[in-house]
Amino acid sequence: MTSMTAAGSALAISAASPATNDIAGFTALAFTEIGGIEKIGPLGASFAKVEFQPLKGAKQKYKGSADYGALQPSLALDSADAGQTLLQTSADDETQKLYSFKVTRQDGTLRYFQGRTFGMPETIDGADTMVTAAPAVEICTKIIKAPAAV
Amino acid sequence: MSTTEKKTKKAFVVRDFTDAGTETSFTASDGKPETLVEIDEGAFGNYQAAGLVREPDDTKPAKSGNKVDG
Repeated sequence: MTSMTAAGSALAISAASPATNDIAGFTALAFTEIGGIEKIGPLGASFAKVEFQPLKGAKQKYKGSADYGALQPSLALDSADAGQTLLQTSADDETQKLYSFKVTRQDGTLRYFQGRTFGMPETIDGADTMVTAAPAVEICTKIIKAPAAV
Repeated sequence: MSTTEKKTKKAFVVRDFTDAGTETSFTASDGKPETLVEIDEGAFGNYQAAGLVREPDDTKPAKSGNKVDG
């Protein structure tokens, strides 16, 4: 049984890009953890569905282009947090620069990818809620799965 | 025996901030040498990109209070 809860998971960001898009490339980077994370959200690629309905026979379905997906974490805003500040910088960045991300799961296994942050809107809700942000990180590279660091 | 000696560099801290991963807090430097801090080189790149730190030498022109650009 290798199920686990989400508790202890973490999201980190780096302004640098890996020399190679593999475990070694990402491991060489320095990441800054993003504080105040409530949820990291779904993470994974999906493929477009290409369909063809012949006059005779069942509908045929093919895998089309890959979409590496998007990350939409939610977090309690903290202007003093270095990771959140860098994430905000990536959201404000008007260039096409890619930022590197690292997700650490409870068991220490890792997910690496690069992406662009398309926004980081704040939510100011009721009196008994935290001021939060919901950054939209579009994943632009294949997600690299890495074992727990030894 | 470890071969991964982390390089550090001196940094001017622009404003107070905390690193959630290392649980380290940094206090804004006031220009005096003793308020500069040693930061891991890799972390420095991220902090600098976020506008939280800068090279100590950059602080000299800021003494006047105004930036002199070109």
